Amino acid sequence: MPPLHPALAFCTDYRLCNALGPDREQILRRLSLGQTGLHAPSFELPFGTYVGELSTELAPLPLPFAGYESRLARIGYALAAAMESSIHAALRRWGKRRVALVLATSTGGLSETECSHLGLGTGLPLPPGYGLLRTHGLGATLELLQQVLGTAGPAFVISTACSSSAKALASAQRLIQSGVADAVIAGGLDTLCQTTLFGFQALGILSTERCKPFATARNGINIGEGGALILLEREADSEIALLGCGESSDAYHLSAPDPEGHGAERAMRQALQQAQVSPHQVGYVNAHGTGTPQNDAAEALALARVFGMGPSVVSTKSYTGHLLGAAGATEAAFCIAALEQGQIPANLGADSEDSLGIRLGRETLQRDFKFALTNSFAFGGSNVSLLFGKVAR
Amino acid sequence: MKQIIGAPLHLAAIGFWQPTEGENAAPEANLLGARARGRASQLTLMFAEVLGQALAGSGINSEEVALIFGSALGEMERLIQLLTTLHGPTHDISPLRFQTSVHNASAGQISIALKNPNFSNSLAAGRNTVAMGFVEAAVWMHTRQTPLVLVLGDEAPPPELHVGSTYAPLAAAFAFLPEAIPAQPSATFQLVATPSASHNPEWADTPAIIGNPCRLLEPLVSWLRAGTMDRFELSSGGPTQYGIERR
Repeated sequence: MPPLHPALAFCTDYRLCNALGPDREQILRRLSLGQTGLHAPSFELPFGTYVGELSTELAPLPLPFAGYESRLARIGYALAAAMESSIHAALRRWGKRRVALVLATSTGGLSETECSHLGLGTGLPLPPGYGLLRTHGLGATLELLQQVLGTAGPAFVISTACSSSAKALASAQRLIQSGVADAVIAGGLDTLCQTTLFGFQALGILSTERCKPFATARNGINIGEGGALILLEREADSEIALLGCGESSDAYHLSAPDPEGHGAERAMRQALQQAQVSPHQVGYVNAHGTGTPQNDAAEALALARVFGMGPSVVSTKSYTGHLLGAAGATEAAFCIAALEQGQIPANLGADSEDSLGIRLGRETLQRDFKFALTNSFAFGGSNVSLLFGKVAR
Repeated sequence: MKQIIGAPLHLAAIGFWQPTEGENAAPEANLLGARARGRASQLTLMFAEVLGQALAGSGINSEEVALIFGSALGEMERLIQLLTTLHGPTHDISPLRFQTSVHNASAGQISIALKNPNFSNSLAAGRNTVAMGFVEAAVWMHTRQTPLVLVLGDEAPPPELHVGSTYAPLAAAFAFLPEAIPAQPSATFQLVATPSASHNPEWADTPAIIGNPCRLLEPLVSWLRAGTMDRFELSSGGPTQYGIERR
């Protein structure tokens, strides 16, 4: 059996796009200024809510890849293009068979399937080029990026609803730890779809206003769209690494969290244990913090048991909306940025007092800290915690 | 050059289900309670059935096992039900159908049925879903070394979105132990990767699905049970060829 490598995976590049902007620089600037990307939708809905829409036009795929056209594929292609030089450097350094690709999505090409299905109902044929695997399939953008980037290592998509891309990063870490890959491009992509908006409305958890995670007056979530890719490598000059991952199941309910947060607590403690980091060393927790009364209460209980009033706990969903399958990687990227910049974003809409037994920052903080943890929880009781940190070189 | 992927896979039991010819019977899926069975999709029923077979055959503790599920297309039956409602007069989506339309709906329902608080995952990789399920399993066994069941399969395609041909649903489950099984020395396998001899750069760019994306499961199960060849190919056409070899 090949040797088992250390569990750490260095973060050598990361790229994002979401409602805060089309690129990393704009997104991080607006995050530091406390500016939300949530607005009333630009399209019609029979109910009121706010969404985190991408505000910039996504370029069509180049002609050779036009067969993969979808909104999701455009997001994936744009992020990969932004990261191209780092990926090519990793391919040169490690060889294409040693570079893996682990994407995540919950929607796949659902927005195109919605349009196609609507057309069928009015007597139209399927659009030319529509294919179940190539348009709708969760693996479609994966196949596209494999061809565009020229990677030849393992390539798969994790789809566990709202924890998908945090689990993609955990899978990426295992690929590196096992010696199967030396570098992994990992992340998540999701688009706004009618099915998810109407579905969360049917569950009664869409907020009619901008979401206010952890606030006493919180009343639901806002859905967003976008993506994040993170390049992880076995060795690098970077001082920031993914150090620990924890994954658990609630085994409680399909869509509601265990109200005591035991599964969430297990995931956080596993991540800390794998990283060999004590809770008091963690300076920043990017909470799952969706903004529903039940989810935030359960997560706060778990956070209070693990961390008490130690780290600053922030939900960035009040900036981007809930990016579903892309949330985990986006919020992991926010942790990496916070470690790089020594800056912790503010909770938007939080109460003036901490009432949940956790420290909820209301202002952007400048603080030097070494470890940050991000939580992602999902339908099916899927829990993931990722611990990032600065590694002494 | 051949690359060994992850840890050796010590196969303790297999589960397999496909409809009997001419019938479209739902699998029994006794692992789920009656209420959960009643609201489960066909994919979840298939997965629960083969997982139940693999757990029973291996003796692995169902409350402690790690679970990896893989399906190229996931909960298509549920999705079509949702879209039909969404595009109907009321748009009145059922919350239950929405919850059970996500790719990891089976993982969630099964972890609840088994009272299993441990790791589970749910993946897809188009035509390579079977091969990538084995990659994730071999890497899990290398890094975590706990009993694991890998569950793979796909439903039949929705006819309205897959015009002109159809294929049968099928699913299989593979129970792996972290240690070799003394009574079954032939039950140890190794996942390997080799550069593809006939790599077609446009291998994935084929619009039609030819058969179930997980159709390899049937010959794979036959090979694992009785095959005489040393190696079974899990993928073809891509830049890297994945195979499973008998040790």
